[in-house]
Amino acid sequence: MIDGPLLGNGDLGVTVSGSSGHVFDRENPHAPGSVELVTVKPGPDLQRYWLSKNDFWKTKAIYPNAHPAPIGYLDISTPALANGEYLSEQALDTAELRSRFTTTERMTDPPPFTRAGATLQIRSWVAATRNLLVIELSSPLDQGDSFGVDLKLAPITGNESETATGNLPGGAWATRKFASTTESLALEQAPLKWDSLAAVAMRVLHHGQPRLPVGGNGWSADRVIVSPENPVTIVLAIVTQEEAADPLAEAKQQVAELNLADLEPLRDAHRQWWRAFWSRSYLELGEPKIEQYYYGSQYILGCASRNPDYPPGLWANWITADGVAWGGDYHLNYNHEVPWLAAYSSNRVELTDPYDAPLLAYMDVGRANARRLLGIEGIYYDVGIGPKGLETVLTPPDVVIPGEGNRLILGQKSHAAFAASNMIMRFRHTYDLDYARKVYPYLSEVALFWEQFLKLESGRYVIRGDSLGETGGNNGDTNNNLALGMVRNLFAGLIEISRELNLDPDRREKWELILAKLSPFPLAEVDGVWRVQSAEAGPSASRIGPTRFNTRVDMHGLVWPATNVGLSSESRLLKALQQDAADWPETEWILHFGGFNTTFPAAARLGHDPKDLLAKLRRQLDVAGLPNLFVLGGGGGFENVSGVPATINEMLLQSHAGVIRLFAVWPREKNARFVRLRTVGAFLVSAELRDQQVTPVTIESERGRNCILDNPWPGQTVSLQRGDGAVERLTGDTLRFGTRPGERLRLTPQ
Amino acid sequence: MLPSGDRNVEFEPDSGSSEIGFTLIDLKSAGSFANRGMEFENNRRSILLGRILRGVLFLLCLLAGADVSLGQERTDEALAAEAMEIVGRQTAVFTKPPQGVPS
Repeated sequence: MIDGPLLGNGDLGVTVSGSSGHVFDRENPHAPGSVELVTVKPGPDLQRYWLSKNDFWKTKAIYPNAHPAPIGYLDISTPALANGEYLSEQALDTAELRSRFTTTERMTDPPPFTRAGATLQIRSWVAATRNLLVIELSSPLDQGDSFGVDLKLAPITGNESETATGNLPGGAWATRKFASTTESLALEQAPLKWDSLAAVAMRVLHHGQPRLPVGGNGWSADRVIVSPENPVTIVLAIVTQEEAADPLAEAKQQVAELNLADLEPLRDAHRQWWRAFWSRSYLELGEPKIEQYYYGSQYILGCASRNPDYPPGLWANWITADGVAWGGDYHLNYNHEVPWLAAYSSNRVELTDPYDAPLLAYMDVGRANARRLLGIEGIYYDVGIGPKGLETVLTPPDVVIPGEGNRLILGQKSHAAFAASNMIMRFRHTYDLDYARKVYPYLSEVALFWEQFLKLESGRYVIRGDSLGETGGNNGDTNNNLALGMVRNLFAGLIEISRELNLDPDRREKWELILAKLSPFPLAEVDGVWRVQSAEAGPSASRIGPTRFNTRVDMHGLVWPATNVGLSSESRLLKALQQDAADWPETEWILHFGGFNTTFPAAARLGHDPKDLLAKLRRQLDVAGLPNLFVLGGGGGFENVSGVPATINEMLLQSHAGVIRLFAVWPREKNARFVRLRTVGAFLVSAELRDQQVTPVTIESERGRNCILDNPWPGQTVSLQRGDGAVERLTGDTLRFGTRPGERLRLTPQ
Repeated sequence: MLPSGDRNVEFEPDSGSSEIGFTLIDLKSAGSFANRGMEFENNRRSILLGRILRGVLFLLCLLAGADVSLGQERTDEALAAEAMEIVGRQTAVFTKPPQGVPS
């Protein structure tokens, strides 16, 4: 898990590490002729800027050779800062890293020495509007200190890559390439699906007259002097083969054309982008730490997910090594789905655009899987996929898994249906018909798969031969919660979308029949209490009750992100799930390997005790929150990015089954407010809870749909003021009213 | 020209305006006031006067303890300024260098 400061623009990602400390010999200044041993502690004397991009992949299909790959790094070495003081700030509002490093001893490193107490300032940002890293080094005017700074740009080497470096006027360049070859050094003799090349060009821009380094032989691009009168700005352009036919030429040209004056409009555009990003929604909770991770999670998603063809993989766009776990691909049995689950309710839907691209591009492979492995139509997905139809989880030809051939499906038939849950969630939060048309072919083919895979037995549809967990084979369960939930959610969503698009009316009858006759979720009565049972029969049927471990897998299908159960659901099932969450052992909540992103928001949706939920969230952040505002998790560094915002949004504002509930799972005595959170039905809702009362509520209707609101002022008549000024009176526990597209409505208690 | 009635806050903030607090709050009855201002949309002096009066009204509301918080209609710019003020408090601080950044 990356613990360094994070920068990014949704494609280019940059993280920064410090020196790890070292020991070296030097001549003792107090005893000429003798040598002293100097120990340098981890500190600011070396800052390594790691560069990676969402669209730079090694594309060899044999697992785990197909993965996003790091490009290279820039080392900024300041010898005078050995044992110096370190302070860096990752500012979310302006999306920049601000560092202040201070020397603690007099150093003889030229020019010609640096006194103790001298400060080097570094401000870094990845431009929001182009793939450019800007690093600004300065020394405060009132201190008068100069620093010698060494720069080294290098590509990551190895892993069958080809690398090259060279100099530029006032800078340097580096490339890393994965090329198709039949002379592979790897054990798996498989060609790449396509070549990949990434290029970095760096240029140093001086604000003043460059000073020559003392003892040097004239200008050198890799040694600069930073002084109060000569701040230095380093610009790095990063270009891949996905963006230009000749990435190196393009990167060189970009930095050659840049000058200091160009950076100011670029900085303005950068800040405007982030300002617009933050104004999409916001909230205040009176919980400083939770708020920081709430906004930190939004920031990380904004930094990671904006390349429309290449969503971030398991480790997002902060890749620092080739051997990333699980290939860093798009794993479909929760990892790829969960990072975006708070973006819809947070009104940052545009960040989810990249999510769909690899799923839509994989349909040919999915069709072939269904046909070859199961003899049916529709699409059947592997556990991991890559961009543009890239197969990432093929096993070597001599490794064959029963029922799956040389592929890793891991016994789970539900991957494609699971992936559909995000599409359905997005549609219900936006009612965007253009989006619906884009994903409809995918949803339709997942449905076709299940139409043929489901068995109609004794008047009900049954799922056989499908596994709840990763089994690596075909000996599955009967009616496990994961698949039952995903299939139920799929058909409910598809029926709604097909109606909105007026497509496939002849298939809808079958889908409605499946929905009506799909087997119920298994429950087992234990000591008079109805308990969750993971499957009706098969290996997972023995998983009963809250101690079954990995409760998140059931929650995926039952509650989150499949939206089958909420506060208005059938009573026995809802109560069983509420009791389940109430009885989960601490290990299901805190530092769980992959559960944080699911158990917390699911518990919120189920109406778990809000005080307990907040207390657990604080504990989780105390032990799993990293300084860069990532929340530590096992199954990929990026997946927990939705954990805090999804939980908080769900506590403040629910809209399961289209019923808007304000502060439904929030301590009544705790003041909180939110602005423009998005609900099912495409409504933007702003509300405040103050002194145990909900103050007037604003609802902005994007699509003009009918609105159902759980009365925030029970027993009171409510005044509804429409956008045209007309006022209506509403009464009852549930308020129902029509809206017009673009209308802003205000509700006030009488 | 004044904005229409549902965009009634005229404190067009620059990048630093959130620091003076104007953008955090709104007038309870500013919508009707803005509509009155529309009658004089071609008169720059009246517009200026309208802005000043609105500022005075805003301060009076504030002094009277009026409800000037969330739920009022505010401009997108005012919302953005408030969002930036809140997010500006969320800076992550590193007091020691990260030790390696494995994926």
